[in-house]
Amino acid sequence: MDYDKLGLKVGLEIHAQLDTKKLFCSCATELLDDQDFSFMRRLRPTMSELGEIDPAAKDEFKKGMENLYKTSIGHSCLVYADEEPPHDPNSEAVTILLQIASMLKADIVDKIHFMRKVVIDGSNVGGFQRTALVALNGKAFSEYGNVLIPVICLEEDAARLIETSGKTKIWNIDRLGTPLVEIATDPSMHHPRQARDIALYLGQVMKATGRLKRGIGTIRQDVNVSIIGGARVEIKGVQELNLIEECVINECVRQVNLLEIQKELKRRGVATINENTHDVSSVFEGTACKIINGPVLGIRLTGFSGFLGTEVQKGRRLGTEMADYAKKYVRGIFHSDELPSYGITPEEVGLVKEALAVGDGDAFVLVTGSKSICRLALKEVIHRAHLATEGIPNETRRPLPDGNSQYMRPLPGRSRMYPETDIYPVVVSDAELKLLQENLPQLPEEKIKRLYSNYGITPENARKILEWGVEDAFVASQERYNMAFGKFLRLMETLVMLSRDMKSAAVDRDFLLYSFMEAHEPLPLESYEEVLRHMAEHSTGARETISSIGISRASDDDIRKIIRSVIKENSAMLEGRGKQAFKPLMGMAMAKLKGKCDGKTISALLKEELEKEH
Amino acid sequence: MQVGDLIRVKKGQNTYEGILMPFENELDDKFITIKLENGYNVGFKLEAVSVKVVRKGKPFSATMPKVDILHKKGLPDIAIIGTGGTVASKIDYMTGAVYPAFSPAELLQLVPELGDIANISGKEILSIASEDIRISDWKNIGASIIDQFNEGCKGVVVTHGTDTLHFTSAMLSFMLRGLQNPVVMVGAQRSSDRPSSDAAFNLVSSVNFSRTDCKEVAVCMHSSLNDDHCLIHRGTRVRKLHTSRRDAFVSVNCPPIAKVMGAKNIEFISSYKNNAEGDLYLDDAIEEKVALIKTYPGARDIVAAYVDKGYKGIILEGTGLGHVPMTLYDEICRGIEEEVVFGMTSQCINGRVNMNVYRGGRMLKEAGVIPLEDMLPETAWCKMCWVLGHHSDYSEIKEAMLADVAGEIRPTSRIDTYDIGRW
Repeated sequence: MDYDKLGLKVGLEIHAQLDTKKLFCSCATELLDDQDFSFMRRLRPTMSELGEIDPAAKDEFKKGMENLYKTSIGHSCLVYADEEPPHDPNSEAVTILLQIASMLKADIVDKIHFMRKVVIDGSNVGGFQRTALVALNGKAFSEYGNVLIPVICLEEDAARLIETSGKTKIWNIDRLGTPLVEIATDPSMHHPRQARDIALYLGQVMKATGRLKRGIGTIRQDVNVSIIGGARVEIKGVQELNLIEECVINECVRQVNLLEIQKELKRRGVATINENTHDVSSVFEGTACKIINGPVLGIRLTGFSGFLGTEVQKGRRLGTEMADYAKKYVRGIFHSDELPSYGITPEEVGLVKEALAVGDGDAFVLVTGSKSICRLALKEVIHRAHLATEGIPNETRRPLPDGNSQYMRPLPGRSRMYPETDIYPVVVSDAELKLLQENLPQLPEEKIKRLYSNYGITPENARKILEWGVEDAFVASQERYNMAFGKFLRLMETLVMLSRDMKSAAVDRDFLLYSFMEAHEPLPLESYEEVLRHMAEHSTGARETISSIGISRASDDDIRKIIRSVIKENSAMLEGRGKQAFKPLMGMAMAKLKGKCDGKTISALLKEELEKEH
Repeated sequence: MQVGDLIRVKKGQNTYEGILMPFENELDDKFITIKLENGYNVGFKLEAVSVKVVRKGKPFSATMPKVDILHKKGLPDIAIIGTGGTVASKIDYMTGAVYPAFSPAELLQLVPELGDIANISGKEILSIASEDIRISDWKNIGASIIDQFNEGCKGVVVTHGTDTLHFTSAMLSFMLRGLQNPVVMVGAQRSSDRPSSDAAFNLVSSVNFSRTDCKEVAVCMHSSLNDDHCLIHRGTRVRKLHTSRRDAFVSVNCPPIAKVMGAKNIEFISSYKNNAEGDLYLDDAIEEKVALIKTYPGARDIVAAYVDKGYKGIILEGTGLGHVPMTLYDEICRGIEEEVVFGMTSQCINGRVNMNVYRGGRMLKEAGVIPLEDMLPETAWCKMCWVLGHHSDYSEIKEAMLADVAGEIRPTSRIDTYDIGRW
């Protein structure tokens, strides 16, 4: 794809949790699944200066939605139960933000004001998230071009939704109030790779403070994508760096395909969507389709024939996008481009077409459920069909594991913010800032340079070490453990492979790394995987593992003995094949010495012994 | 340059545009705060920036959408009187200012459930921080309540800041004679500009309770951390016992009157006054020279200071069963000689004073200090102000202080009303 021609624009918003106490009280920020205290709240929409109440918020309140907040006594105090005013902002968190802002060469404000951003979905007990803009106009660097960072904020993380049951949302407030650094770039990135590189760069800058939380979900990336003629789409909560690039590429594909569909619809003269729904339940009396178990309602989509089955992303069709909208009410939809199927017969399809007056160029959509639910679901389908004639809807989308995305909700409007009057603004002292800026952690580029010039590795390898986030371990491998770089590389590659292989949460990488480095000396490269896998699976140290699975590097004498015995056992073959016998002998020696010695040593010793024979 | 103007701030090589925000206090003249386009407020050091006005600002107009208010037949007329503290408010997201909403239209917009249970009228008569409330304000509030009843309201709800809400409820309990309908005082522990505020639920519950046949001044506040029901406390028996929780108000030495589930049902817990005594009138003869003094070990001078200033009555908040350190004994005796009336309450808050058990108590009692039984210190102070407005003879005062006027004093201590600190 020619991204310049498409006019690709990408912006990033990165949130990372800080490893400190909560932002406005001194409770711990560790997650805790045990709960022994709960309280119930209803959030009420507030009114803006124009006397407006957010319709979505009003709707939620009218429905009588309740929030049940759970916590553990001792883990949460009154502050995040919204039963006590916030304490002063956590000074460590403020300092970390100032560090990050300084590293990104941003303009730090002189007085930090905390704001309340209204959030009515229940994820914040108070009904708002506290957030403060700490710095403006930072810069991030990448090979594809640099990017401006208009805002760097310090904010509160939200509560964790455990489940929604009926009208009650159940939340755990353990995560609520965990300080977050939020970095937003301008939407000037023009290549998927650039988005990935900038995300990596920002991640490294934040990690350089040494104060980021680690683990799944501690860094979340929102990716904004648009192309010329398309619309801004936000893909919210991409957790893996490598998925960013794919998300951007797949969103480009999606927008290109949707624009194509729009063009074709226009050519066919489709401008409005017929909103009449029809009850076609009678067609399905005694149907073989197991999904249908009640009324079936349908609509005709005039001029849509073929489009519902058109792929917009790999494996996802316009019909899938309609289903995503309808999923608010039903589990899925049936559409004409996929029928007959699901046990629905061609005869039934024919009858439906007749009932809905579906002509040759038309499509239809069916849903099943109670009649009122069906009508609501079809209304969503009609809405999405209408949007297809307009092009690309502004949406917030959920990333899928394959790099595609799924509709979540319409893109939210401007956030409503007003000052948090319970917190005194923080004045950034010049002296403190000066001291902090004189002692900044190294920037990624400086670190790479330091690594390759100090330890004689290539810049590419230095970059890899940084991407893995193992600078300290690497330095230790060189200075403390005397580990050849090739071995360290093999160790890291094996760990990366294992963490992809096993559930990554289960692998405590630092423990594996250091324990392994300490005991690495006698181990041949061939045994790295076996040892590390065993360590990860059994949570045992390297020495213990090595002795329990019986891997040890044999001494040269022992190896020689085994090689000699191999030669002796095969003297007949040696006679007959001469030098040709090296390969089979090598194979046999390798098999006997598996895990005890690397191939290079065996090959050298075998050669020596064969020389002696001659 | 005025608050609300769009201004351009140049700081080094960077330029920022935003709306000029109000200065927070006088010490704040070193900084300028603007609201950026993205909604954030940021502050810059004035000395480091140059500032230019881009566009003059428009003043905020707190206009509300028009609502047709239908007078619904069958629903009672309930008046809501505002005295400060905002049970309902709207936010100017431009400056962050919070404006109280008080017209019936505004109240119904923000708390639509009210329209289902009553025909609401609203009026703000005071707008003060509740710690600044004065005796003259209580007279005003009392007079307004009488006006509302005279206009035919079936109930009156008074919104009030929470700090001194229990003083006001106690004072009104004494001043409002011959109540025929409920007066329900209500506040909020979390400001009404936040979606999690307890204000609206408390307001709905108080309007609901104001429709009953209770003829007392009551306080309606959250009963727990949950938004599920409120408690109705007797105006003379309630005290704020927590600085911040929404269930801060607790009935002391007696059970609450009722439980109210918002606009839904009301469940009575204990007996209340439902028979009227005579006609409704405001009895606001008040003596202002009354002090409430908390004693402490080794205390000196704190009684003499008031005696010297010509105070007529002093409520002591003594320790335990009603004691003060001997260091204050002579000051109290001198006060009594100068015809200052002393009443004794306890800083234990819960329980009854008894000045017979220990010698110190007996000495004070013999000197003339009146043991005020199970009365709350704040209620006792209000009552002393009111009683001294009517009597000047010591034995009349003593008799009046010990007579039950509004459920504030009872001869028996219930066995089940002390639930603090149960684990």
